[in-house]
Parts: sequence; structure tokens; C-alpha cells
Amino acid sequence: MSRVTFCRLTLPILLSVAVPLAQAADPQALLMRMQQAAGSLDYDGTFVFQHGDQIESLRIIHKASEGVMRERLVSLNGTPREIIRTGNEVRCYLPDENAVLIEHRRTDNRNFPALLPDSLSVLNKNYRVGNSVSGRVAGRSAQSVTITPRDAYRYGYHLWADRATGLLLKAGLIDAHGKVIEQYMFTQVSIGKAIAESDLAPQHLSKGVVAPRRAEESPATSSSRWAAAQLPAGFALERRMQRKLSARQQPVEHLVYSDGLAVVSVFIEPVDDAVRGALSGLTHMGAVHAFGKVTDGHQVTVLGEAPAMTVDMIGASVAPQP
Amino acid sequence: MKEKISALLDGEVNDLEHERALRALGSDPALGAVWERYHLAGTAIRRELEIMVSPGLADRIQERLRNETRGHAWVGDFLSSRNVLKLGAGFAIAASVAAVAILNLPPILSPADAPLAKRSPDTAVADARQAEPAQQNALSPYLMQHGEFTPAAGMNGMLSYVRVVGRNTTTTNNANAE
Repeated sequence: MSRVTFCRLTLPILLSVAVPLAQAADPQALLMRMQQAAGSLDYDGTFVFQHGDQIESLRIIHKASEGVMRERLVSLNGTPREIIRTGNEVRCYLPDENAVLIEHRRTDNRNFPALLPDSLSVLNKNYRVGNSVSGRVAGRSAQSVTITPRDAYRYGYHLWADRATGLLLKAGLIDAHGKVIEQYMFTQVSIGKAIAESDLAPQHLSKGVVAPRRAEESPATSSSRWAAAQLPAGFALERRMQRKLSARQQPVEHLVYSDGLAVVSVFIEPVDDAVRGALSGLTHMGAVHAFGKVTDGHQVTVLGEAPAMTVDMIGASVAPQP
Repeated sequence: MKEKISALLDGEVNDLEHERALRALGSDPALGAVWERYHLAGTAIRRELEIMVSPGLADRIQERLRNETRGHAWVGDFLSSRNVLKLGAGFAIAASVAAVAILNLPPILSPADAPLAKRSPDTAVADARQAEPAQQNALSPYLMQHGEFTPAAGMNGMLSYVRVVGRNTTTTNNANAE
């Protein structure tokens, strides 16, 4: 398994393989094109994020043309929360919590799980990739691709990509009953125009913001004995790492389980005052299900864009291995 | 009449036509809707569209004004004067929102009307309750870490961190009140 994972994660070179426009009607080629677009385009747009009965409006500014991925995401209604990403550093400004969270991405510029030819075969085991149709999103000509799960342990996806550039313009998560449980859609986007430096700077620094100690890089390897004993069909452990979470004294172990598309994260940390009772049992935020428990003196937190039964099964089975 | 509305929007009418067009708009709801659509289209074409407002907003605001400001003599005078004609007809989409702010009206959709997390869970989340605000806050650091790996992250970065910033504070407050 680890070799497969290794290969998949170390094949970003395939990102640079050009997909001819003529092939774009092929759904799998379209998926690849979307991924390339996300990593190479500059764009600035406004999109809506609908989950359950709620709808939010957000603006995203994305700059990739100078080699370093830079991005600003800001909520346009309610509290002006912002995420600023510069390369591997991700800063989250939360004015309502008077806090800045700083995290470091561990996967460099590799996208994960990469929708590369290699992993498309993995994807095909758990999903059916459906025909592409034409339409229009945010005033732009678009093409869609549907990804339908083969069982009820994962959600389906309906994606719309810009025909000219491949940029993902609309995405919906679909449950086992065909109901859209969460969706995102650009209402306006400009692609390929120059991005001003000021557009990538935080706009809503509140007074007295507390910047937690900068998270330090820690070894990706771990001698941990923790694991999920039971996994839904198709899921496998993809990553295991030690991480520093903002405002945590001790490193947190992060296990990443994936079926080639859906991802469920498992966090294990010693119980202290900061985490005691933070989450217990199964909850959800839109399409994200989260599960928490305390076992063997550790807080276990599981979350992912997956159905309740998937997160519950993984969460309930996380235990120290003999 | 639609041509006249179009001309009105483009500022290509003389004073008399201007007055007539506004009168017609004020008296005919269908024409009012046409006016809204034309105005929205114009705004969108000029790429000035920053907010999307549902059709009929002008009507609802007017209705609200009538219902909620009866006690205020000046507003009553204002509403009963011929200015109303212009106000009703000329409620530009952007202006109408500004008016809501200026008049400090309650939101069109009051918290009592707003759909809350109390909705009956569908089968997909039958066993899961909506995370409470404190839980959502506690989950933020984990979501940040998880965001790097979300499936959509490979396709578009916008999806990976959206849940951290895209949480509705209004709902949070409502949930607190319950």
C-alpha cells in the first residue's frame, strides 16, 4: 500500500502533462485538466457556498503565476474571517475569536489526493466517473463531470469546469439519495488578470489579535501505535504524521485515510485542558462529519467530507494497536 | 412601454416622458418587475454587480416600509407624497439595499423566519447533530489541517478552507439562544 501511495504522491510531474483541448470532453481528462488549472491559474472571484439551509458568500483571490501559490479567501457576510495562504503557510484570521491560526501544509505543492492517471484507477474502484455535459456557470461556458459513489460510504460529486481554462466553477456534494448536501458556485470570476499585491494582504486585522507561536516543522515519521481497526471498503491509510496544531503544546498525530477521493482525517493527542471534552460523539457541519472520543488518555478527533456512517465507523475503531 | 423603460434606464428620455415612465412603473407591478430585470442586467453587464438580490425586493421593502413606519409622521408624509411614485419605481437594486441600511430596518428575513439547524436531519446525517458553535470553533484547527487533504483541494484551493471561514455567525447566535 505504502508503495502505491508513494508512487501516487511522487508523480506530480504528471501535472505538467498537457491535456489537449480535444480530449476535454472525456470526463477523466477533464478531471486532470481541472487539477492543472487550479495549480497554474491566477483568478479573482466571488462564489457562494451553500450547505444545508445556509448560504454564504466568499471571495477568493488566487495567484499561482509566480511559482509560489498564494491565495486569500474571505467571508463576505457575517464575521470577515480570512484565510491567507503563502506557499505552505496558511494563516487563518478569525476576528470573532480574536485569533490567528497558523498552519503549515505538509504536501508542498503536490495536490492530494492527486487525480492522476495512476489514481484514477483507484478512483474507479470506488466511483463511476460519468459523462461530461455542456452548460454555463458564472457567465462562462462550462463542462460538467459527475462522480458517483459505488456504495453509501462516500459522497458523489457534480463538478463544472470552465471550458476555456479548466478552472472549477461549480461543485456539489451529493448524498446516497441524490440530494445536494453542499455546493459551491462562482457567481463572478476573472481569470488570468493581474492580481494586485494588496488583494492578497489581510484586510480585517482586529485589535489584540493573538498570534500563536509559529508552528514548527516536525518529522513526518512517527513510531505511533494508533490506527483505525475498521475501515469502510476502499479506504486505506494514506499518511501518518506528527503535527503542531495552533495553540497546542504537544504535537498531534494526524492519520489520513482516503478512498482515492474522499478523505477522513484522524487526530490523536494526549488529553489536556485545551482539548478536554472538545468534541464527543458524532456531529456535522454541512457535509463534514466529525466524531470525538477520549480513549486511553487521548482525545481522538475524526473528521471528513464523508457520510456519518463512514466517520463513525473509523472513529469508533481508532485505538492503540497492540 | 418596455422600450420606454429601457430608454429611461439609459437616460434617453425628456422630462415629460420621464414623468410618464415613472408613473407607469409605479402603478404596474409587472412593469416594475421588468424595470428590476433591466436594471439588474445593466448592472451585471457593466460588471458592477456585487450583490444579487431576489426579485421583488423593492416591493417587499416598500411593503415593510408601509407596515413598520406608520407611527412616523414624516415617513407617512413621505410615502403619501408623489415622491413615493419615484421611490417605488426608482428603487434601484443597489439603492434599495442602501435604504435598508439607512432606515435601519430589521432584515427582510428575520432570525425567526430563518431556517435554523433545528431542521430535521436527513438520512445521511441521521445519527449526527449539527455541531454547536463551541464545537465548530474547537474543530477549526483540525479543519485547517484537514483542508490540505480535502478531495477538492486538488481541483481548486477555494474548497479546502471554505468551512473554516464560511460559517454563518447569525446561525451561531441563534443556536446559542436556543
